[in-house]
Amino acid sequence: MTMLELSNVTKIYAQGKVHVTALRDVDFRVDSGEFLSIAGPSGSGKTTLLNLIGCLDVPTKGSIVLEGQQLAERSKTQLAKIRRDHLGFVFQSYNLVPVLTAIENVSLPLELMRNMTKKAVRERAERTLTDVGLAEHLHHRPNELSGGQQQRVAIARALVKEPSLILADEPTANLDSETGEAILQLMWT
Amino acid sequence: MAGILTKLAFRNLWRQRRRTILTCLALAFGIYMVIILDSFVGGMTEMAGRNIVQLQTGDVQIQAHAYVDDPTDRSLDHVFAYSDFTDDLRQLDQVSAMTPRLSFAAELHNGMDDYHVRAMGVDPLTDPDVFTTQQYLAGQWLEPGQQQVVVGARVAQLLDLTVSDYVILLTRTANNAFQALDLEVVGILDTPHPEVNLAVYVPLDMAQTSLGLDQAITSLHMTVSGSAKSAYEAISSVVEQQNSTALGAYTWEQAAEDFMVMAQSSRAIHSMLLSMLILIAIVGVVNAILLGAMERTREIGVLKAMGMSEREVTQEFVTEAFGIGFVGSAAGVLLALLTNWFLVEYGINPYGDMDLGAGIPLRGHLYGVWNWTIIAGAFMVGILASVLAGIVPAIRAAGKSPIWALRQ
Ligand SMILES: Nc1ncnc2c1ncn2[C@@H]1O[C@H](COP(=O)(O)OP(=O)(O)OP(=O)(O)O)[C@@H](O)[C@H]1O
Ligand SMILES: [Mg+2]
Repeated sequence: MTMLELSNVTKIYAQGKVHVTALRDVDFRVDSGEFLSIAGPSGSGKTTLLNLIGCLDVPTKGSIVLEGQQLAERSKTQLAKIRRDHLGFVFQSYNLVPVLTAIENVSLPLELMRNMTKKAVRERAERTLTDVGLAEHLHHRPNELSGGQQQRVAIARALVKEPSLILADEPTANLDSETGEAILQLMWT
Repeated sequence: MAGILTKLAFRNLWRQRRRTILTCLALAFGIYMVIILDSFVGGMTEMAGRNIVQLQTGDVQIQAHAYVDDPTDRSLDHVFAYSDFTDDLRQLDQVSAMTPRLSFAAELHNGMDDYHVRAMGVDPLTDPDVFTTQQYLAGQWLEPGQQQVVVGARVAQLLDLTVSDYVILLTRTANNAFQALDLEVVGILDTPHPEVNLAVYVPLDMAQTSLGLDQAITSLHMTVSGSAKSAYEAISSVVEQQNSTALGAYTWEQAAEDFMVMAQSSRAIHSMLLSMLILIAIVGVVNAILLGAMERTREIGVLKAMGMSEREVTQEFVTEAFGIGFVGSAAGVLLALLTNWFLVEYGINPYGDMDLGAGIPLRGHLYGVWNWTIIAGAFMVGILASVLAGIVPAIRAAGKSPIWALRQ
């Protein structure tokens, strides 16, 4: 089943008089359950592409259809709702909320959805953290965790609401190769 | 859930606790000053009012309009015979006590120096029914018909007088002839009303005889019971029935109009000062939210990427503003309650023995008052001002684009 379809997606950044074409006429399709890697040199537009798919930015031209929904002409609030209900992000620099513990960070997406009891949220968050091997670190703040552990919390945070699509922008770039392997392994499963 | 936003807000306030505490302190200081200054002004007004009623005017007085219109008029041109009124006034239930006074200008000599004073002929028997003057008396009170004088403490000090000294009171009669009275100082008055301490009191009948005035007086003072307004109206209608257009009934507020104007304008100055303090506190809140939003640009981006709406981000920051407002206001109110309890119970003596001059009827110990409207109002205004001050910077923070926020 087609989950994501991009056609003729072009993104041009305008900075004063300088126009940078970050993406030109990108077409592709992703089916649900697919694991897709996008590779390219620095500055080739990978982050730009993920931002467009992640409803964080809008294309200059072309259309993006996510789960049958045309993203163009959606209001900011509707886009926020799509992100909340259907998307999970993993960033290169983890970006956990520093004032929240591991389990609170993972609970956050569920609490934003407002459709589960406190207890259910807690149980699901705890289970997901256990799945990524952090059962011992539920109540640690991000600054008390290693880079690899933080990224595993970030993955748990993206996985916990079982989104249709997880977008990960260079999730292993800040990790040593061994930890990076483990993280990729986690995302496969 | 609102729960997560509140949790984030308070954790973030705690993360920046130094800034949070400073902002709260600024707000607390503003609130504290509002309450304490108001208590002072309230205490001063109350005390001055009490001094005026108990030492100068009584609750209601009958007097010539001319004396009220020009308080510097010390002539005997507008005296009146009060026996016309007394029977009618006595029949009023509202009038519980009544005493006549005759005010005239005089010079007091001790043989070496002299001093201009306001002399007051008082009825030694009925004056204590209306005024509390005797509470502040050292020595004896006046006796009817005697060549006696009770002098204000300030006059006694200036002319170096003690009880049983003899003095000469030089004045003019109703016919403008000079009159010198040989009087014995029987008592000295040290009251909290500076103007009284600059006056001298003599027996009314003796003064009337000496000034050639028969039964005339300058003012009739009354203590009323029940509603001050209905008493005032009843007394007014008695005066009107006498067809004496030159006379009128005055409440103590009307009689002391200058003072009321002063009290009101000092209140206005205070409220201006206080709005400025609140303004400083608002600047603190705006500053705290703007800085917080700047430092947390990336975090805001993450939250928005996770699907938090702009409304929810705004709500989180406004909750922080509320937190600052609540804690700051509560701290300010708490400190003010403690200080004011002390002010109300023990008072302070800000002027020492110095007179404020300018006829301000205040001297000695000053006490605070409990003004719960202001205390509750200051608390609410503190919170409301903080929340309102937080809204615009919070909306700005929530509007930050997540892509920009997340650029690595
Ligand atoms: N907000 C922006 N404004 C202007 N130009 C931008 C903006 N974002 C990206 N670009 C430009 O678009 C091009 C693509 O950038 P992008 O960040 O998508 O590359 P990338 O493939 O993710 O690179 P890297 O591997 O270094 O992360 C670059 O030339 C970059 O300078
Ligand atoms: Mg990139």
